[in-house]
Amino acid sequence: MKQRNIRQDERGFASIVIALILITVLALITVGITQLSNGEQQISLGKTLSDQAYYAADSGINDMVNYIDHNGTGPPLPADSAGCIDPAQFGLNPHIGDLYSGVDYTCIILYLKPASGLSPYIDVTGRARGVLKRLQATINIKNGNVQITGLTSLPPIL
Amino acid sequence: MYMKLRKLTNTGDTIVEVLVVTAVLGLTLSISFATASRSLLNTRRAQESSQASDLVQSQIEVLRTMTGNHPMDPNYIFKSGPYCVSGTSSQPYKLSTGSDCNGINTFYNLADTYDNSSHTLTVAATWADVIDGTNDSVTMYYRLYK
Repeated sequence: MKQRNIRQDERGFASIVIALILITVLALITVGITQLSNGEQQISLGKTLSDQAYYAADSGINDMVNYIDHNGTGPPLPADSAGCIDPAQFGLNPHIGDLYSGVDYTCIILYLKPASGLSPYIDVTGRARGVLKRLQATINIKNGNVQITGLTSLPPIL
Repeated sequence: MYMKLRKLTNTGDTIVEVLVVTAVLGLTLSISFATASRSLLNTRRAQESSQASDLVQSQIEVLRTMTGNHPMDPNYIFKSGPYCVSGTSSQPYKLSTGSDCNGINTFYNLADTYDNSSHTLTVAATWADVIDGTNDSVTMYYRLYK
């Protein structure tokens, strides 16, 4: 009789253990699926913001090209800016889209009168809700008109 | 008598225990299913968003190319819209307006507009959200001069 009671107790204990194992496995699978889902969302958001920052940087280059086309390369443009220049310094509006879009460009680096053999360039960093993208456009200035000859993506300096 | 009571008590405990375990397992299964289901929907939503980004990006790239040397009149780019472009570089690009922009991809509705004062091209893809059917959208801006 005692043996039978013990066996019954063991069965009950086993069912709890099996249930706990099942719950743990289910919880792990669920956590795994949630992690995958979160990762996918982060990648998707990162891609959209990165694209927005890229086009913001490219827009900054277009703004600068348009500025030089209309105003030339004389002052207030520096021949070789050692660091970042604020776009507002040239009266440019760095916000792309509406103010709440969070998309703008921040840092313009100009290298307009290089030594012989080097190409002049316009370097702009675009920003979309904290995601940065830096583009450098090599240019050719002829008769006051700017022509973009190449576009390179660089690591952001901010 | 004591033995009988003991046996009865033990049997009762086991049934209650099994019921509790079944209830706990059922609850865990329900929570797991709901969470996993929601996560899969969120994954689907993220994939749709990525696809929309690609579509918007391809519109901007086409419009960018059209400002250069292309058979299509570049002035189309500076339309106030909403419009969209379809086609490949080997086939002439086609300009569509309004509901025609659904024809490019049946799931997404594209709208390109150009603001003459800020010289900004706005390209947006809108679609019905997989979770609740409300409109979701991806918008990108690009400043372009004539």
